[in-house]
Amino acid sequence: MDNLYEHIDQLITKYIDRTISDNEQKELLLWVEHNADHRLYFKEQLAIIRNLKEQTHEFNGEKSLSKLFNESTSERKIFSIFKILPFAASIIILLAVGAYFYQNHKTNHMPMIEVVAENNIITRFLPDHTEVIVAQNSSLNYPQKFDVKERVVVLKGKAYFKVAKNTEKPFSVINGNIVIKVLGTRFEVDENSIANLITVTVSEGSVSVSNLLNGESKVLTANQQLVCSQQGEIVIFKELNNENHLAWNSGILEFENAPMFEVAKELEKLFKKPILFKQEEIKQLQITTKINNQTISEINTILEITLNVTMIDKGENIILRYQ
Amino acid sequence: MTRRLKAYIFSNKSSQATIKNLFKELYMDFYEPLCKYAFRYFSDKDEAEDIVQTVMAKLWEQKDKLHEIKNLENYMYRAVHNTCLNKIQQLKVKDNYSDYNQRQLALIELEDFEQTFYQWEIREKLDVEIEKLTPKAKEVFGMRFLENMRYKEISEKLNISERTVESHLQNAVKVLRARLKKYI
Repeated sequence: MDNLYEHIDQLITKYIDRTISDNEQKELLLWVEHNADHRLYFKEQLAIIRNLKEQTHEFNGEKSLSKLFNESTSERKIFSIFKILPFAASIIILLAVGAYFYQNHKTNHMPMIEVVAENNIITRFLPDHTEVIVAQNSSLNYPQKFDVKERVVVLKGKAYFKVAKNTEKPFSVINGNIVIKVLGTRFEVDENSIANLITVTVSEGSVSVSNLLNGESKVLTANQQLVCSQQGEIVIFKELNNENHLAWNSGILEFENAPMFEVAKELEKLFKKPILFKQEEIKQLQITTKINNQTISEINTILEITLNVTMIDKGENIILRYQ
Repeated sequence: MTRRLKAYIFSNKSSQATIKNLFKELYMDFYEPLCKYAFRYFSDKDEAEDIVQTVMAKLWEQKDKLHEIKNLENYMYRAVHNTCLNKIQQLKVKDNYSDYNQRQLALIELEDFEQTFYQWEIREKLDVEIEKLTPKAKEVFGMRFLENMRYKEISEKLNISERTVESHLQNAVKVLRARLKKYI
Protein backbone atom coordinates (compact mmCIF):
# COMPACT_ATOMS: atom_id res chain seq x y z
CA MET A 1 0.00 0.00 0.00
CA ASP A 2 2.78 2.42 0.98
CA ASN A 3 4.74 1.67 -2.10
CA LEU A 4 1.65 2.12 -4.18
CA TYR A 5 0.98 5.63 -2.91
CA GLU A 6 4.62 6.48 -3.25
CA HIS A 7 4.45 5.31 -6.83
CA ILE A 8 1.26 7.23 -7.55
CA ASP A 9 2.74 10.36 -6.01
CA GLN A 10 5.70 9.96 -8.33
CA LEU A 11 3.37 9.74 -11.31
CA ILE A 12 1.42 12.78 -10.21
CA THR A 13 4.61 14.79 -9.81
CA LYS A 14 5.74 13.72 -13.26
CA TYR A 15 2.34 14.66 -14.63
CA ILE A 16 2.71 18.16 -13.23
CA ASP A 17 6.28 18.49 -14.49
CA ARG A 18 5.18 17.12 -17.86
CA THR A 19 7.89 14.49 -17.76
CA ILE A 20 5.38 11.67 -17.65
CA SER A 21 5.60 8.98 -20.34
CA ASP A 22 2.59 7.78 -22.33
CA ASN A 23 2.47 4.46 -20.50
CA GLU A 24 2.78 6.07 -17.10
CA GLN A 25 0.00 8.46 -18.02
CA LYS A 26 -2.23 5.58 -19.01
CA GLU A 27 -1.43 3.85 -15.74
CA LEU A 28 -2.22 6.97 -13.75
CA LEU A 29 -5.51 7.49 -15.54
CA LEU A 30 -6.57 3.88 -14.92
CA TRP A 31 -5.73 4.22 -11.24
CA VAL A 32 -7.59 7.53 -10.93
CA GLU A 33 -10.69 6.24 -12.68
CA HIS A 34 -10.72 3.06 -10.61
CA ASN A 35 -12.92 4.45 -7.85
CA ALA A 36 -14.08 7.66 -6.18
CA ASP A 37 -11.40 7.51 -3.46
CA HIS A 38 -8.61 7.36 -5.99
CA ARG A 39 -10.16 10.20 -7.93
CA LEU A 40 -10.34 12.33 -4.81
CA TYR A 41 -6.79 11.46 -3.80
CA PHE A 42 -5.60 12.46 -7.25
CA LYS A 43 -7.28 15.84 -7.13
CA GLU A 44 -6.18 16.69 -3.62
CA GLN A 45 -2.64 15.50 -4.12
CA LEU A 46 -2.46 17.50 -7.32
CA ALA A 47 -3.46 20.63 -5.45
CA ILE A 48 -0.83 20.13 -2.79
CA ILE A 49 1.98 19.41 -5.21
CA ARG A 50 0.99 22.24 -7.54
CA ASN A 51 1.12 24.65 -4.63
CA LEU A 52 4.57 23.44 -3.72
CA LYS A 53 5.92 23.57 -7.22
CA GLU A 54 4.38 26.82 -8.24
CA GLN A 55 6.78 28.66 -10.50
CA THR A 56 6.80 32.37 -10.27
CA HIS A 57 6.13 33.91 -13.63
CA GLU A 58 5.56 37.52 -14.36
CA PHE A 59 2.42 38.55 -16.14
CA ASN A 60 1.88 42.15 -17.06
CA GLY A 61 -1.44 43.38 -18.33
CA GLU A 62 -0.37 46.82 -19.53
CA LYS A 63 0.24 46.00 -23.19
CA SER A 64 -2.87 43.93 -23.68
CA LEU A 65 -4.97 46.53 -21.88
CA SER A 66 -3.87 49.32 -24.18
CA LYS A 67 -4.47 47.08 -27.19
CA LEU A 68 -7.99 46.40 -25.97
CA PHE A 69 -8.79 50.09 -25.84
CA ASN A 70 -7.00 50.89 -29.05
CA GLU A 71 -4.84 53.32 -27.22
CA SER A 72 -2.00 53.61 -29.68
CA THR A 73 -1.68 56.66 -31.85
CA SER A 74 -1.54 54.76 -35.14
CA GLU A 75 -4.95 53.22 -34.53
CA ARG A 76 -6.47 56.62 -33.99
CA LYS A 77 -5.21 57.61 -37.41
CA ILE A 78 -7.44 55.03 -39.08
CA PHE A 79 -10.54 56.34 -37.39
CA SER A 80 -9.90 59.98 -38.08
CA ILE A 81 -9.41 59.55 -41.82
CA PHE A 82 -12.96 58.26 -42.11
CA LYS A 83 -14.41 60.91 -39.86
CA ILE A 84 -13.07 63.74 -41.99
CA LEU A 85 -14.57 62.46 -45.25
CA PRO A 86 -18.11 63.53 -46.12
CA PHE A 87 -20.82 60.88 -46.43
CA ALA A 88 -20.98 60.89 -50.21
CA ALA A 89 -17.28 60.15 -50.56
CA SER A 90 -17.48 57.21 -48.18
CA ILE A 91 -19.70 55.31 -50.60
CA ILE A 92 -16.92 55.38 -53.18
CA ILE A 93 -14.55 53.99 -50.60
CA LEU A 94 -16.94 51.15 -49.83
CA LEU A 95 -17.13 50.10 -53.44
CA ALA A 96 -13.42 50.27 -53.92
CA VAL A 97 -13.18 47.93 -50.95
CA GLY A 98 -10.00 48.98 -49.35
CA ALA A 99 -8.07 50.22 -52.34
CA TYR A 100 -8.70 53.91 -51.68
CA PHE A 101 -8.06 53.65 -47.98
CA TYR A 102 -4.99 51.71 -48.72
CA GLN A 103 -3.48 54.54 -50.73
CA ASN A 104 -3.94 56.95 -47.85
CA HIS A 105 -2.55 54.61 -45.31
CA LYS A 106 0.78 54.13 -46.98
CA THR A 107 3.35 55.30 -44.49
CA ASN A 108 7.01 55.70 -45.29
CA HIS A 109 6.14 55.05 -48.94
CA MET A 110 6.86 51.40 -48.32
CA PRO A 111 6.60 49.38 -51.52
CA MET A 112 3.50 47.23 -51.43
CA ILE A 113 3.18 43.70 -52.60
CA GLU A 114 -0.02 42.45 -54.08
CA VAL A 115 -0.95 38.80 -54.18
CA VAL A 116 -3.74 37.94 -56.59
CA ALA A 117 -5.17 34.43 -56.55
CA GLU A 118 -7.28 33.59 -59.57
CA ASN A 119 -8.07 29.93 -60.08
CA ASN A 120 -5.74 28.54 -57.48
CA ILE A 121 -5.14 29.05 -53.80
CA ILE A 122 -1.94 30.96 -53.05
CA THR A 123 0.00 30.53 -49.85
CA ARG A 124 2.32 33.33 -48.87
CA PHE A 125 4.49 34.21 -45.91
CA LEU A 126 4.39 37.82 -44.88
CA PRO A 127 7.48 39.70 -43.67
CA ASP A 128 6.66 38.73 -40.08
CA HIS A 129 6.29 35.03 -40.97
CA THR A 130 2.52 35.17 -40.78
CA GLU A 131 1.15 32.56 -43.14
CA VAL A 132 -1.68 33.64 -45.41
CA ILE A 133 -3.64 31.38 -47.69
CA VAL A 134 -5.41 33.49 -50.27
CA ALA A 135 -8.47 31.83 -51.78
CA GLN A 136 -9.54 31.87 -55.40
CA ASN A 137 -10.61 35.22 -56.84
CA SER A 138 -9.10 37.12 -53.96
CA SER A 139 -6.25 39.50 -53.46
CA LEU A 140 -4.11 40.65 -50.58
CA ASN A 141 -1.97 43.76 -50.26
CA TYR A 142 0.82 44.01 -47.77
CA PRO A 143 3.96 46.11 -47.31
CA GLN A 144 7.37 44.76 -48.15
CA LYS A 145 8.28 45.57 -44.57
CA PHE A 146 5.78 46.15 -41.81
CA ASP A 147 5.39 49.45 -40.02
CA VAL A 148 7.17 49.86 -36.69
CA LYS A 149 4.02 50.06 -34.58
CA GLU A 150 1.63 47.72 -36.32
CA ARG A 151 1.10 45.20 -39.09
CA VAL A 152 -1.69 46.07 -41.51
CA VAL A 153 -2.79 44.21 -44.62
CA VAL A 154 -5.68 44.83 -46.97
CA LEU A 155 -7.83 42.03 -48.26
CA LYS A 156 -10.34 41.74 -51.07
CA GLY A 157 -12.18 38.42 -51.06
CA LYS A 158 -11.25 35.46 -48.90
CA ALA A 159 -8.15 34.39 -47.00
CA TYR A 160 -7.05 32.33 -44.05
CA PHE A 161 -4.49 33.74 -41.65
CA LYS A 162 -2.08 32.04 -39.26
CA VAL A 163 -0.71 35.09 -37.55
CA ALA A 164 2.82 35.08 -36.17
CA LYS A 165 2.82 36.11 -32.58
CA ASN A 166 4.11 39.60 -31.87
CA THR A 167 2.63 41.33 -28.88
CA GLU A 168 4.50 44.53 -29.72
CA LYS A 169 2.86 44.90 -33.11
CA PRO A 170 -0.84 44.17 -33.48
CA PHE A 171 -1.89 42.54 -36.74
CA SER A 172 -4.91 43.92 -38.58
CA VAL A 173 -6.72 42.96 -41.74
CA ILE A 174 -8.69 45.66 -43.49
CA ASN A 175 -11.58 44.52 -45.59
CA GLY A 176 -13.52 47.58 -46.68
CA ASN A 177 -14.79 49.35 -43.58
CA ILE A 178 -14.24 46.41 -41.38
CA VAL A 179 -11.02 46.00 -39.48
CA ILE A 180 -10.21 42.61 -38.09
CA LYS A 181 -7.63 42.87 -35.40
CA VAL A 182 -5.88 39.81 -34.16
CA LEU A 183 -5.73 39.03 -30.49
CA GLY A 184 -4.90 35.39 -31.10
CA THR A 185 -3.82 33.27 -34.00
CA ARG A 186 -5.88 31.57 -36.68
CA PHE A 187 -8.88 32.87 -38.51
CA GLU A 188 -10.49 33.26 -41.88
CA VAL A 189 -11.95 36.31 -43.55
CA ASP A 190 -14.35 36.05 -46.43
CA GLU A 191 -15.81 39.02 -48.20
CA ASN A 192 -18.65 38.22 -50.49
CA SER A 193 -18.77 41.23 -52.78
CA ILE A 194 -22.15 40.45 -54.26
CA ALA A 195 -23.98 40.39 -50.97
CA ASN A 196 -21.53 42.86 -49.46
CA LEU A 197 -21.14 40.62 -46.46
CA ILE A 198 -18.02 39.74 -44.54
CA THR A 199 -17.59 36.43 -42.77
CA VAL A 200 -14.94 36.00 -40.11
CA THR A 201 -14.29 32.51 -38.78
CA VAL A 202 -11.85 31.85 -35.98
CA SER A 203 -10.24 28.46 -35.64
CA GLU A 204 -7.76 29.31 -32.91
CA GLY A 205 -7.18 32.29 -30.65
CA SER A 206 -9.37 35.35 -30.84
CA VAL A 207 -9.93 38.38 -33.00
CA SER A 208 -11.84 41.57 -32.62
CA VAL A 209 -13.93 42.75 -35.51
CA SER A 210 -14.55 46.47 -35.53
CA ASN A 211 -16.55 48.79 -37.66
CA LEU A 212 -14.72 51.95 -38.65
CA LEU A 213 -17.98 53.77 -39.21
CA ASN A 214 -19.22 53.65 -35.63
CA GLY A 215 -16.36 52.23 -33.61
CA GLU A 216 -18.30 49.21 -32.42
CA SER A 217 -16.47 45.98 -32.02
CA LYS A 218 -17.04 42.34 -31.23
CA VAL A 219 -14.67 39.67 -30.03
CA LEU A 220 -14.66 36.22 -31.58
CA THR A 221 -12.98 33.19 -30.13
CA ALA A 222 -12.22 29.73 -31.47
CA ASN A 223 -14.97 28.05 -33.48
CA GLN A 224 -17.04 31.18 -33.68
CA GLN A 225 -18.22 32.81 -36.81
CA LEU A 226 -19.49 36.28 -37.46
CA VAL A 227 -21.21 37.54 -40.58
CA CYS A 228 -21.64 41.26 -40.91
CA SER A 229 -22.34 43.86 -43.54
CA GLN A 230 -19.91 46.56 -44.53
CA GLN A 231 -22.06 48.89 -42.43
CA GLY A 232 -21.20 46.78 -39.43
CA GLU A 233 -24.63 45.23 -38.97
CA ILE A 234 -24.22 41.75 -37.56
CA VAL A 235 -26.21 39.29 -39.62
CA ILE A 236 -25.09 36.03 -38.05
CA PHE A 237 -23.05 35.22 -34.98
CA LYS A 238 -22.67 31.56 -34.20
CA GLU A 239 -20.66 28.73 -32.74
CA LEU A 240 -19.44 26.20 -35.24
CA ASN A 241 -19.39 22.55 -34.32
CA ASN A 242 -18.09 21.43 -37.61
CA GLU A 243 -14.39 21.96 -38.20
CA ASN A 244 -14.88 21.00 -41.82
CA HIS A 245 -15.68 24.59 -42.67
CA LEU A 246 -12.02 25.43 -42.99
CA ALA A 247 -11.12 22.30 -44.94
CA TRP A 248 -10.91 24.19 -48.23
CA ASN A 249 -7.42 25.36 -47.44
CA SER A 250 -5.99 22.34 -45.75
CA GLY A 251 -7.65 19.38 -47.42
CA ILE A 252 -8.30 17.87 -43.98
CA LEU A 253 -11.76 16.56 -43.25
CA GLU A 254 -12.80 14.78 -40.11
CA PHE A 255 -15.88 12.65 -39.70
CA GLU A 256 -17.29 10.84 -36.71
CA ASN A 257 -20.22 8.54 -37.47
CA ALA A 258 -21.16 10.82 -40.30
CA PRO A 259 -23.63 9.58 -42.90
CA MET A 260 -22.30 9.35 -46.45
CA PHE A 261 -24.60 12.04 -47.79
CA GLU A 262 -22.84 14.53 -45.49
CA VAL A 263 -19.42 13.19 -46.38
CA ALA A 264 -20.28 13.47 -50.06
CA LYS A 265 -21.22 17.13 -49.64
CA GLU A 266 -17.78 17.92 -48.25
CA LEU A 267 -16.01 15.82 -50.85
CA GLU A 268 -17.86 17.68 -53.58
CA LYS A 269 -16.35 20.94 -52.31
CA LEU A 270 -12.92 19.38 -52.17
CA PHE A 271 -12.95 17.78 -55.63
CA LYS A 272 -15.11 20.45 -57.23
CA LYS A 273 -17.33 17.87 -58.93
CA PRO A 274 -20.82 16.61 -58.17
CA ILE A 275 -21.02 13.23 -56.43
CA LEU A 276 -23.82 10.87 -57.43
CA PHE A 277 -25.10 7.79 -55.58
CA LYS A 278 -25.83 4.69 -57.63
CA GLN A 279 -27.70 3.09 -54.74
CA GLU A 280 -29.77 5.41 -52.49
CA GLU A 281 -29.01 3.42 -49.31
CA ILE A 282 -25.36 4.37 -49.48
CA LYS A 283 -26.36 7.85 -48.40
CA GLN A 284 -27.25 6.56 -44.95
CA LEU A 285 -24.09 4.53 -44.33
CA GLN A 286 -21.98 6.01 -41.56
CA ILE A 287 -18.25 6.48 -41.45
CA THR A 288 -15.62 7.66 -38.98
CA THR A 289 -12.44 8.78 -40.64
CA LYS A 290 -10.00 11.56 -41.29
CA ILE A 291 -9.13 12.60 -44.79
CA ASN A 292 -5.90 14.51 -45.17
CA ASN A 293 -5.00 15.83 -48.62
CA GLN A 294 -5.61 12.48 -50.21
CA THR A 295 -6.39 11.75 -53.82
CA ILE A 296 -9.65 10.30 -55.04
CA SER A 297 -8.16 6.84 -55.32
CA GLU A 298 -6.84 6.90 -51.77
CA ILE A 299 -10.20 7.94 -50.43
CA ASN A 300 -11.75 5.27 -52.59
CA THR A 301 -9.64 2.64 -50.85
CA ILE A 302 -10.90 3.82 -47.46
CA LEU A 303 -14.50 3.58 -48.62
CA GLU A 304 -13.99 0.18 -50.18
CA ILE A 305 -12.52 -1.27 -47.05
CA THR A 306 -14.86 0.27 -44.52
CA LEU A 307 -18.15 0.41 -46.40
CA ASN A 308 -17.75 -1.84 -49.41
CA VAL A 309 -18.48 1.19 -51.51
CA THR A 310 -16.42 2.29 -54.47
CA MET A 311 -15.91 5.74 -55.95
CA ILE A 312 -15.47 6.17 -59.69
CA ASP A 313 -14.25 9.39 -61.23
CA LYS A 314 -16.15 9.93 -64.45
CA GLY A 315 -14.43 13.20 -65.26
CA GLU A 316 -17.40 15.51 -65.00
CA ASN A 317 -18.70 13.82 -61.86
CA ILE A 318 -17.94 11.08 -59.34
CA ILE A 319 -20.14 8.04 -58.73
CA LEU A 320 -20.49 6.11 -55.46
CA ARG A 321 -21.73 2.54 -55.70
CA TYR A 322 -21.50 -0.82 -53.96
CA GLN A 323 -18.55 -2.90 -55.08
CA MET B 1 -0.51 38.21 -3.07
CA THR B 2 -2.86 39.43 -0.38
CA ARG B 3 -6.54 39.31 -1.13
CA ARG B 4 -7.79 42.62 -2.33
CA LEU B 5 -10.59 43.97 -0.24
CA LYS B 6 -11.41 46.49 -2.90
CA ALA B 7 -14.91 46.53 -4.29
CA TYR B 8 -15.36 47.21 -7.97
CA ILE B 9 -18.70 48.92 -8.11
CA PHE B 10 -20.04 49.33 -11.58
CA SER B 11 -23.20 51.34 -11.75
CA ASN B 12 -25.49 51.75 -14.71
CA LYS B 13 -25.62 55.42 -13.76
CA SER B 14 -21.90 56.01 -14.20
CA SER B 15 -20.47 57.78 -17.19
CA GLN B 16 -18.62 55.85 -19.87
CA ALA B 17 -15.36 57.34 -18.68
CA THR B 18 -15.93 56.17 -15.11
CA ILE B 19 -16.82 52.67 -16.23
CA LYS B 20 -13.77 52.54 -18.47
CA ASN B 21 -11.43 53.66 -15.72
CA LEU B 22 -12.84 51.21 -13.24
CA PHE B 23 -12.55 48.43 -15.77
CA LYS B 24 -8.93 49.32 -16.37
CA GLU B 25 -8.29 49.04 -12.65
CA LEU B 26 -10.01 45.67 -12.54
CA TYR B 27 -7.96 44.52 -15.51
CA MET B 28 -4.62 45.53 -14.01
CA ASP B 29 -5.48 44.09 -10.60
CA PHE B 30 -6.60 40.71 -11.84
CA TYR B 31 -4.52 40.15 -14.95
CA GLU B 32 -1.61 38.54 -13.15
CA PRO B 33 -3.54 36.25 -10.76
CA LEU B 34 -5.86 35.14 -13.57
CA CYS B 35 -2.88 34.33 -15.78
CA LYS B 36 -1.28 32.38 -12.96
CA TYR B 37 -4.48 30.41 -12.51
CA ALA B 38 -4.65 29.55 -16.20
CA PHE B 39 -0.93 28.80 -16.23
CA ARG B 40 -1.48 26.14 -13.57
CA TYR B 41 -3.37 24.03 -16.07
CA PHE B 42 -1.61 24.89 -19.31
CA SER B 43 2.00 25.55 -18.33
CA ASP B 44 2.26 27.77 -21.38
CA LYS B 45 2.73 31.45 -20.74
CA ASP B 46 1.35 32.56 -24.09
CA GLU B 47 -1.67 30.32 -23.82
CA ALA B 48 -2.45 31.58 -20.32
CA GLU B 49 -2.25 35.21 -21.42
CA ASP B 50 -4.33 34.50 -24.53
CA ILE B 51 -7.05 33.01 -22.39
CA VAL B 52 -7.13 35.87 -19.91
CA GLN B 53 -7.06 38.52 -22.64
CA THR B 54 -9.98 36.89 -24.40
CA VAL B 55 -12.01 36.64 -21.20
CA MET B 56 -11.35 40.29 -20.33
CA ALA B 57 -12.14 41.47 -23.86
CA LYS B 58 -15.47 39.66 -23.72
CA LEU B 59 -16.14 41.08 -20.29
CA TRP B 60 -15.58 44.56 -21.65
CA GLU B 61 -18.10 43.86 -24.38
CA GLN B 62 -20.59 43.36 -21.59
CA LYS B 63 -19.73 46.70 -20.04
CA ASP B 64 -23.36 47.76 -19.96
CA LYS B 65 -24.19 44.74 -17.85
CA LEU B 66 -21.22 44.80 -15.48
CA HIS B 67 -23.30 46.28 -12.67
CA GLU B 68 -25.48 43.18 -12.77
CA ILE B 69 -22.64 40.79 -11.89
CA LYS B 70 -22.65 40.19 -8.16
CA ASN B 71 -19.20 38.74 -7.72
CA LEU B 72 -16.82 39.88 -10.44
CA GLU B 73 -13.83 38.01 -9.10
CA ASN B 74 -15.66 34.71 -9.07
CA TYR B 75 -17.10 35.48 -12.50
CA MET B 76 -13.70 36.12 -14.04
CA TYR B 77 -12.07 33.06 -12.56
CA ARG B 78 -14.97 30.95 -13.66
CA ALA B 79 -14.71 32.31 -17.20
CA VAL B 80 -10.98 31.58 -17.31
CA HIS B 81 -11.61 28.12 -15.88
CA ASN B 82 -14.25 27.33 -18.48
CA THR B 83 -12.10 28.63 -21.29
CA CYS B 84 -9.30 26.31 -20.15
CA LEU B 85 -11.77 23.42 -20.11
CA ASN B 86 -13.00 24.25 -23.61
CA LYS B 87 -9.48 24.41 -24.93
CA ILE B 88 -8.69 21.02 -23.48
CA GLN B 89 -11.83 19.55 -24.98
CA GLN B 90 -11.02 21.05 -28.36
CA LEU B 91 -7.60 19.44 -28.40
CA LYS B 92 -9.27 16.25 -29.54
CA VAL B 93 -9.73 17.44 -33.10
CA LYS B 94 -6.21 18.67 -33.71
CA ASP B 95 -3.65 16.77 -35.76
CA ASN B 96 -0.77 16.89 -33.42
CA TYR B 97 -2.53 16.28 -30.14
CA SER B 98 -4.48 13.10 -29.82
CA ASP B 99 -3.49 12.00 -26.36
CA TYR B 100 -6.69 10.81 -24.82
CA ASN B 101 -5.12 10.07 -21.46
CA GLN B 102 -3.64 13.50 -20.98
CA ARG B 103 -6.91 15.11 -21.88
CA GLN B 104 -8.88 12.92 -19.52
CA LEU B 105 -6.61 13.65 -16.58
CA ALA B 106 -6.82 17.39 -17.22
CA LEU B 107 -10.61 17.19 -17.45
CA ILE B 108 -10.79 15.31 -14.14
CA GLU B 109 -8.68 17.96 -12.45
CA LEU B 110 -10.80 20.78 -13.82
CA GLU B 111 -14.23 19.21 -13.58
CA ASP B 112 -15.21 21.06 -10.43
CA PHE B 113 -14.69 24.79 -10.57
CA GLU B 114 -15.60 25.47 -6.93
CA GLN B 115 -13.06 22.91 -5.79
CA THR B 116 -10.14 23.98 -7.96
CA PHE B 117 -10.85 27.65 -7.31
CA TYR B 118 -10.92 27.05 -3.57
CA GLN B 119 -7.66 25.10 -3.71
CA TRP B 120 -6.18 28.00 -5.62
CA GLU B 121 -7.50 30.59 -3.20
CA ILE B 122 -6.04 28.97 -0.14
CA ARG B 123 -2.63 28.28 -1.62
CA GLU B 124 -1.01 30.82 0.66
CA LYS B 125 -2.68 29.25 3.65
CA LEU B 126 -1.22 25.91 2.64
CA ASP B 127 2.25 27.39 2.91
CA VAL B 128 1.40 28.54 6.39
CA GLU B 129 0.23 25.05 7.32
CA ILE B 130 3.46 23.55 6.01
CA GLU B 131 5.39 25.97 8.16
CA LYS B 132 3.46 24.74 11.18
CA LEU B 133 4.68 21.17 10.74
CA THR B 134 7.39 19.89 13.06
CA PRO B 135 10.89 20.49 11.70
CA LYS B 136 11.43 16.80 10.93
CA ALA B 137 8.09 16.41 9.22
CA LYS B 138 8.73 19.57 7.22
CA GLU B 139 12.11 18.24 6.12
CA VAL B 140 10.68 14.89 5.02
CA PHE B 141 7.85 16.63 3.24
CA GLY B 142 10.22 18.92 1.36
CA MET B 143 12.44 16.04 0.31
CA ARG B 144 9.52 14.01 -0.91
CA PHE B 145 7.65 16.63 -2.87
CA LEU B 146 10.16 19.29 -3.75
CA GLU B 147 13.19 17.16 -4.37
CA ASN B 148 11.20 14.13 -5.46
CA MET B 149 13.26 11.73 -3.38
CA ARG B 150 12.11 8.18 -2.85
CA TYR B 151 11.29 6.89 0.65
CA LYS B 152 14.50 4.87 0.66
CA GLU B 153 16.66 7.90 -0.20
CA ILE B 154 15.01 10.04 2.46
CA SER B 155 15.45 7.39 5.15
CA GLU B 156 19.11 7.03 4.24
CA LYS B 157 19.77 10.73 4.22
CA LEU B 158 18.03 11.47 7.52
CA ASN B 159 19.04 8.22 9.13
CA ILE B 160 15.53 7.19 10.04
CA SER B 161 13.55 4.13 9.07
CA GLU B 162 11.35 4.09 5.99
CA ARG B 163 8.41 3.50 8.32
CA THR B 164 9.13 6.79 10.04
CA VAL B 165 9.40 8.57 6.73
CA GLU B 166 6.06 7.16 5.73
CA SER B 167 4.46 8.15 9.00
CA HIS B 168 5.77 11.75 8.80
CA LEU B 169 4.42 12.05 5.27
CA GLN B 170 1.05 10.58 6.02
CA ASN B 171 0.53 12.93 8.93
CA ALA B 172 1.66 15.96 6.99
CA VAL B 173 -0.50 15.14 4.01
CA LYS B 174 -3.45 14.35 6.28
CA VAL B 175 -3.19 17.82 7.80
CA LEU B 176 -2.90 19.55 4.46
CA ARG B 177 -5.70 17.64 2.82
CA ALA B 178 -7.95 18.39 5.76
CA ARG B 179 -7.10 22.05 5.23
CA LEU B 180 -7.96 21.69 1.56
CA LYS B 181 -11.48 20.53 2.28
CA LYS B 182 -13.77 23.46 2.40
CA TYR B 183 -15.34 24.40 5.72
CA ILE B 184 -18.97 25.28 5.35
